[in-house]
Amino acid sequence: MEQESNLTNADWRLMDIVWDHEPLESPELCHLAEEKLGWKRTTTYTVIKRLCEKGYLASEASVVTSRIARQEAGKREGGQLVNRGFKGSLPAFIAAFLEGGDISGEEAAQIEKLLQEYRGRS
Amino acid sequence: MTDLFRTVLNMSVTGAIAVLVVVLLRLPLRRAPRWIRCALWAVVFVRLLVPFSFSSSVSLLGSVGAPEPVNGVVAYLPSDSAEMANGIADRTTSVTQVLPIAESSSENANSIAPTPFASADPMQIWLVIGTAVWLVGIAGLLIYAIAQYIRLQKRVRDAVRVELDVFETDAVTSPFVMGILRPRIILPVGMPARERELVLLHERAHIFRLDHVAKPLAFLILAAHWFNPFVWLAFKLFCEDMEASCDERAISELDHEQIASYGETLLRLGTRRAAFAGGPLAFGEHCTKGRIVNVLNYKKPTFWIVVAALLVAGALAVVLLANPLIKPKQALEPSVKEMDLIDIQPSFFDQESYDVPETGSFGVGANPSQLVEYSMDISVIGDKIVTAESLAEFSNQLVNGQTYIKAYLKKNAEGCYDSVVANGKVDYVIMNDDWYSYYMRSSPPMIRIGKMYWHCSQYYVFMILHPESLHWQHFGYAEYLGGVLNPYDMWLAKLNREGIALPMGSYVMSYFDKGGSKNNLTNDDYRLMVDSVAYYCIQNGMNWGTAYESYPITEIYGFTEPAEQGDDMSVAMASSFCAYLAEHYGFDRLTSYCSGQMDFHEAFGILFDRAYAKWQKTILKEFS
Repeated sequence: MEQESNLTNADWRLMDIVWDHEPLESPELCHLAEEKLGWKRTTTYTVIKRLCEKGYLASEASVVTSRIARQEAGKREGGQLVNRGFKGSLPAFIAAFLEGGDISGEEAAQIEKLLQEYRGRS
Repeated sequence: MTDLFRTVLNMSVTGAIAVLVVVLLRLPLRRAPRWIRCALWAVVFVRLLVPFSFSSSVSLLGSVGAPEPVNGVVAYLPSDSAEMANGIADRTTSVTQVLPIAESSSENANSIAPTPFASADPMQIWLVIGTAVWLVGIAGLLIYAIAQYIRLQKRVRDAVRVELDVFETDAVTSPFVMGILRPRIILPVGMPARERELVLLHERAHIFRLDHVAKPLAFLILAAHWFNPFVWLAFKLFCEDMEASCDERAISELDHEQIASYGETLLRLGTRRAAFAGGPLAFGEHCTKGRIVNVLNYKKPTFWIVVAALLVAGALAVVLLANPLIKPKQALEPSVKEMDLIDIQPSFFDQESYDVPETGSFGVGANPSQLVEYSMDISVIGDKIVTAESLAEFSNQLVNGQTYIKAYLKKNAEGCYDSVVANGKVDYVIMNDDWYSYYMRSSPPMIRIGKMYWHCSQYYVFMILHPESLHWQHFGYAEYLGGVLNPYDMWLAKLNREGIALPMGSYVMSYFDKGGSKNNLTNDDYRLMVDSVAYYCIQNGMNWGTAYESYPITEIYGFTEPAEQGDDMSVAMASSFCAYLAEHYGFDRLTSYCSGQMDFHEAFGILFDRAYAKWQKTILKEFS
């Protein structure tokens, strides 16, 4: 069964730091979180604890590591978004972006390339 | 605490009037910049916060019939039941009686109710109950606000910094500012950049205008006046005007196209608003239709509209802030008929020894039992040869001076005079070879201050406070105080002649150092005199009750018992202190205090010891 992803914006931002720097000690993480996110130490610990409970982080002997890769997390989040917002239809999801005009020509080309690669693999 | 409640009630009535005026004035000021309206609310909040104000004849409160302020405070409610009993007759003209005022009988008007429920005065009971309810209400509102704030803070704790003071979180759906010392702008995650810019313009305007401080402050005032619906209205409108001001500030630099997007942003934030507007201590961006309309209709106000609005608002501020002016009362001079003047003839002194009249024909209320016989050497007093004429003149001056003061007090300061009578009074009696002395009839005329008794009757106070109305030269005490300068003062003259260094002499030196005159003393001279004595006493660690008779004089004249009460010193010191109090805190307060309406702290807003120390410091500084 696919694990329910419910990362908040704050969770993502902390995960970003962990993915970029892991493995790292929790004081160091606090330092980075303060610098990049403007958090107090206690806030960082709260979020670490929350992410451990959600199964995204592991904290052992004050060393924090991720238990899930960035791509995997993104996949979960993306899958959920498609399921929730677009009734599981990936084309509808892409169409929403294209309509919004938020995708540049360059990005569209990149997406196309990805799709082609995907076809080639299967 | 009931006193505080009473003060707040009085301010609330004044404040309600101010709210109504500002609400009405908002209409003609529609075209004016919104910040002017905000400034007007500031005036309202000052009225709701500060009981004291200045007086002006153009006060609006005066024209709606508010009572004349006492000590700068407009009181619809009298300050205590005694005053109520006295004041009820002349207060019936005031339009507003906030609470029903019970008719108090004169007995309970005079009693100081120690426990409110034992008091027969229903007003007192109502006040206590009212105060309790009021406090509970304040506590409730504050707890609600703080809880709301803490909840909000918890919710946005993990908001992520995107700029120095801008944070993003997906826990909220609309932007707001929170924090008082370090305000932060909290945005929902993922706002489009263009929209975010517009929102930040608005939020930064809040911070620039210190709204994040003003709003909690206004809320505190609201909490103190929670029982007043007008104050709730004022708070609501104030918040609206704050938002509108920030909108105006934000769009003032935008072009037409951008203003349209700004309106759109407001609409979008408004439609997805959660049931959450930041609570009283933060800014929720709740969007009203009015706000969008306001933004879209915005025209930069022309220079002249701004000027006109400023003038109107400024005038209104003065009118609202001012208390009605008390017209200074012209002091009434007592007529000769109202005074029981005496006329001692020189022949009275033309004898070696004589009986004192049984009745007090010498001044009012001389005590016959103390005065059995006089014998007086009238030929030489000190170095002076004194004629019967000059003695008669001085005696008349002495006694009639006091009669005049009494009549004056009775005529102009009824309450004060009654309290003098109630406390016993000073009477002058010509006695023995002491030349004269004043004699306390039943008990000394004491004004109790802190732990000290003053031998200062209201006379002295009035002499110094009303120098323009009182005739110093009528009052023997002033001459007495003049000590060395007084040709009739036998004691000091004698000491001088005998070449005894007199500790008392130094006050005279300070007096002359400061330019006090030797002849034809003016009121300023007398004032300087009491201050000089005070300086001398303070410098020598003498306090109330230190007798100058207990200094060398005592031995010289063979008084076996040093005088216990330092009449002379304490009178001068009290006079100096009274004058200081009047100058620094106002004559009204001194009157309230002297007439027994308030205790010291109530009247002056400072503890006796503090005021006393400050006075000492002032005197020392003045002379050293």
